[in-house]
Amino acid sequence: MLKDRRNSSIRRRLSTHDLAVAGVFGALAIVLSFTPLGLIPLPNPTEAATSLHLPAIIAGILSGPVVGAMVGLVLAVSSWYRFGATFITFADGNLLVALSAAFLPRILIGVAAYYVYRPLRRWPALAAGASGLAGTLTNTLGVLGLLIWLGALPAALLVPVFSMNVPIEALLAVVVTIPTVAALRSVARQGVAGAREHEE
Amino acid sequence: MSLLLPGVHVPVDSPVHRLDPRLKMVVALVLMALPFAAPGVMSSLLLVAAIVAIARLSAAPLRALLGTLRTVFWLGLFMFFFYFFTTPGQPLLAWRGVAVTWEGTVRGAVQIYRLCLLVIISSLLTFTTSPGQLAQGLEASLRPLSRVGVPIRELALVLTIALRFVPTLVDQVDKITKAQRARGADFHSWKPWQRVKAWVPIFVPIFVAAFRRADDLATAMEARGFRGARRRTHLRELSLTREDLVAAIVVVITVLVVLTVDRSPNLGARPHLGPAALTAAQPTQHRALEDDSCY
Repeated sequence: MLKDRRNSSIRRRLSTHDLAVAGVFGALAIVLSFTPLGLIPLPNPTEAATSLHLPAIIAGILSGPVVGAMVGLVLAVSSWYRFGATFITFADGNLLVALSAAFLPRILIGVAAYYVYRPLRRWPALAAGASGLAGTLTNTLGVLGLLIWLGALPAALLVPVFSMNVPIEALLAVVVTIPTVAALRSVARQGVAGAREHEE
Repeated sequence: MSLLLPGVHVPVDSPVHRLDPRLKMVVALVLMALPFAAPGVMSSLLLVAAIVAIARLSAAPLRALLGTLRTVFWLGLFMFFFYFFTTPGQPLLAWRGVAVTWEGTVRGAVQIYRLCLLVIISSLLTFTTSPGQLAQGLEASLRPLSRVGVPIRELALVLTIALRFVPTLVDQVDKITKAQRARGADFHSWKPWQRVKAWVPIFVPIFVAAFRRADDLATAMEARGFRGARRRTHLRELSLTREDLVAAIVVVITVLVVLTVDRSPNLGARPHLGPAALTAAQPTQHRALEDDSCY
């Protein structure tokens, strides 16, 4: 009974508009995964910053945690399609570790972005910036942290990645998320899910 | 703007193309774990032979198949040098405190072999299975999760919409990028802040355009009578055939042979390719010395 109620509540929350947003933003995540736009050349030691997670962050703020998680899942599938071999090699053949590191953090990007946006929704620019930051940290630290926690990578790798890549990726996410959310707030007829009063 | 795809579906009629996508996905995952589970020389040769046989059966274009390895060229090089310089063992060369070991060379080569094999296996899956079939296979494989509240049918619909909109969005992203370049956006500044700022006029219109497309799509879906993903049906429902069963039996036998060939007592002890074997090779001498000291 409880299970049925939970299933139906998720389905009721997913309108046709939500499914369309998840599908089109998922397509954007795939496009970014397979074009140079997903890895922007920037003058940091790795010479690139990822922007693959931006559609999941925006979708989470725009249409809620379930839609954000769905876009994250599409990103994870396309990322697995391209880098699955790399994940399995890093995990030394442990499929469970490789799949967890590739999928779990990506699914949580949009969820984290939504739940950071909601308490700060009275200050939209601050809320959008904080969501961008939270989404980026969930992606980068989630993937690397899981690989390190599950023993697939040495812990020493966290410090160089954190000091080299995370600041510039976080900066990119914050700088892109603030104007994008402001533009979408004026375009979206039904408003932004993260800013609605009646949502949980 | 071109897509950097590792392996695009090649629509030809082959025995591998005709197999159920669920079976192909499971087999690909099992084959991907095998180079790590069976690191012996004989098992590795058998595995390579099995993959060559699958490639021949699937009529995959050899040049395109090997071309997919380019996607991991830099990563492979990085991994090789990482193991080359960081694996302890007998030094081959030493210069100013940096030692290159025999063990590191072998370990780096083994990791590259595994990475290449994994890329070839995933490319074979995408060569022989269309994105639509993959989405349907994923939906069917994950269906049990709908019992615990995961909206699987909705997810499958989202994946189908995403795959349908990829070419449209590639076109749109290309137009927006070219328009901003024509307006003088500077993507080559040495200052990180300037370069990050240059990407904002690219991303904001892309997201707004994507949202407008989603809005139009939702209106079009509802106008055509869409009433939720639950009632959605497929033109072709997936069902396992006799060919799938035969393929599954052949794969199970191959996996068992690959896993056991190096452990067979008739074949004796076989050298291993894995890092565990390399680290185990060194202490053997010490153990022999310890055994001598016992006498």
